[in-house]
Amino acid sequence: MGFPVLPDQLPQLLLAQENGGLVQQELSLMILLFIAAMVAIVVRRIRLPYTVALVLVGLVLSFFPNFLGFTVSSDLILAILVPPLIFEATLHIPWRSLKKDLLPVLLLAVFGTLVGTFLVGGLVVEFLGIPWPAALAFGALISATDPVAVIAFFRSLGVSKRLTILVEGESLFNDGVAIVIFNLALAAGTASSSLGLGEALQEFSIVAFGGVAVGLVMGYVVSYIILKNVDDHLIETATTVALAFGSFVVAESFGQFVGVEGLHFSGILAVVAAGLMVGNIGTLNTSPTTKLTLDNFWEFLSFVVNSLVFLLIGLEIELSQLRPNIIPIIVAVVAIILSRGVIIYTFGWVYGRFQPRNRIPLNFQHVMYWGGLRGAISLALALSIENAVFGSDVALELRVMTFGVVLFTLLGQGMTIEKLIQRLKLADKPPQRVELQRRQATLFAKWAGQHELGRLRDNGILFRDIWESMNQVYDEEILEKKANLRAHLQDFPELEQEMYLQAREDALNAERSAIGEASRRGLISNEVHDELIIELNNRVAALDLIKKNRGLDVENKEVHHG
Amino acid sequence: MGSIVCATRGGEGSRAAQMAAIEQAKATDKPLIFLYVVDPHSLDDEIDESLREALLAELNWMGETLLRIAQKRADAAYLGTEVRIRRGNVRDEITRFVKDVKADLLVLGAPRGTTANVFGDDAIERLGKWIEEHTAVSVQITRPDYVKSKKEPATR
Repeated sequence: MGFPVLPDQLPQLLLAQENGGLVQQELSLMILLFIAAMVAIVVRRIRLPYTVALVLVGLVLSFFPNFLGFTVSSDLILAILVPPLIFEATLHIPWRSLKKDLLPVLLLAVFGTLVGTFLVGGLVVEFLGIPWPAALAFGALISATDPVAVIAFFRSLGVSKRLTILVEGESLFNDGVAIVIFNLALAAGTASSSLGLGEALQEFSIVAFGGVAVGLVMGYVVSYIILKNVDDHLIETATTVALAFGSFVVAESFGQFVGVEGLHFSGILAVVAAGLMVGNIGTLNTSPTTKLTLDNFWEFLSFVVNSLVFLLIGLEIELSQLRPNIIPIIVAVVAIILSRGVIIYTFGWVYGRFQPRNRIPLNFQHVMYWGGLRGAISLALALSIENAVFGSDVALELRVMTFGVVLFTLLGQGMTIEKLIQRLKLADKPPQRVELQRRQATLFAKWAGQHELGRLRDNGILFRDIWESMNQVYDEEILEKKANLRAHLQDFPELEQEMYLQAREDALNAERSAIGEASRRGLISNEVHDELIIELNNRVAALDLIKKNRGLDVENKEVHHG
Repeated sequence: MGSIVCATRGGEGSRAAQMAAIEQAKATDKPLIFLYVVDPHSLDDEIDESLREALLAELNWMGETLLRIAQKRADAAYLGTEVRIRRGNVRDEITRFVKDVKADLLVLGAPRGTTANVFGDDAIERLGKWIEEHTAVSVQITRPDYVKSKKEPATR
């Protein structure tokens, strides 16, 4: 019943033996990456989310039937493309921030997905007459939110960390939960097995908690044994890649490793747990060089994989099937819009009653509601529905409904979410802050240029008299840039406080890296390392509180009407 | 001769308050003391008990830095100053301090617009009024616009 990827099948998946030769597949891949790069260049000039643009280009490419040299299978998406995306996202989620909102995130991920499954399932049964197990499978697969496009906007607009954590956290956990419920619905759909509610809950708990446990253990091993003791940025980065894919495979095929046939856990939740562990503990034990390499590598990999995923989504959407199935698609779109609204606003209200001090502001709820886009996971699950389970007609209908919903959310919601964020005044990049960055960066660049001239002079490449003249010009420019910066701070004195707090945070992070370095060199014991790291973590958390108290984080900032 | 006290917290109005205080001290030839108050209970609503010690240490670190910045500004105007950090409720500590040093003038900074939630729950004007009523000290409140009208001495 679990996701059917076994370690000995992975090489076959990678070689994608289904269609065409290896060279043709490689060529297709290269073309896709080239197209993605072109799309990335174009969207810099127009206000269109990168992922949405990729889907549109993919749709255009789908008119060329043999464009791809391989078949896009659910295995390819779930086992190869999704783990690195999820791992990269979790690497950057600070546990301190997630912990504060772990309760709403988990409640939304678990109960929100369950409620969404039944609401969407019920509407689909009512209006389309699809059998209950198939409707529930659809309800589950379509409940997995994919906020890549939304998060990209959050970053560029400077939206509150808390809102980002709520949206990203819910999505990461609900992916895993949706897959588990989807598998249970598939099991219910097969004649050979029938699950009672108690049994289903038990299975759900085992798969979910087992996945988290596998991820935590593997993440712990990598963080404490490899990242802490090995000081080589290449080896450390390679280890994180092995962890991202390894945690997925080990969880999904757990039975094979312990000799219990059929035992499997959630691979997605394993990757989430492993990523959180490495991002929050593992990177504390690495050198600044490794940290930089890790960030760059995972940013690059995530860009490549994301590009492929969204192009493939566009390529896989069968436009010819959308028109004859327009009614089921409309029903599905209305169902997900209604159910998302019911889940978010009801949950927001109830949670606010029980946790008034940590309530989710209404404008956050609007963004969480409209930002609930669907993407790769939904599509992969839809592609994995075999005709034999619910019959070929129903399987096709579910696939087309999924394509329709994904397309609607990406194009309709994805292209309007930025406006909503701005209308709700959640974008927090005031022009004076952007101007401060500009003036700081200009000064920094001038210093770097002057420093380089000094180096050239010291190496005998630049004659002293030429250097003196060039250096004088730089001195004057630097004086002017400094005066510009000072004048800006004089106009906006609140920026001075921000400058201090940011610098203090950077300094504390540098102290933390130094402790990690001392531990790696064997200068301090593990006990001393842990004690000092806890102390520094507390200082960073205290600084966060000071920032929040002084209104420098827009958490909980709400628009009051009237 | 009484002194001038400038209570600072590094906020939007701090620099204006510091410059006004420096100007007053130079004009009257009175000693200037910069004061920073670490309030251990200022974040009681949101603080996790395990963080209290770290928070106090961090507030203290911030206070020391901010006072040094203020002192450098005074140095640049060729004015010698003293700096003090006190721990306790902001209103009570400022009141106690201005009495202790027999200050004539207290200078406070205020941000643009509303001042609610600055210095505890009191709006800064209320805080100033309260101190004036309970001590013999005059209170001057300065806003960021003050800086625009003056040329700040350059600090390195």
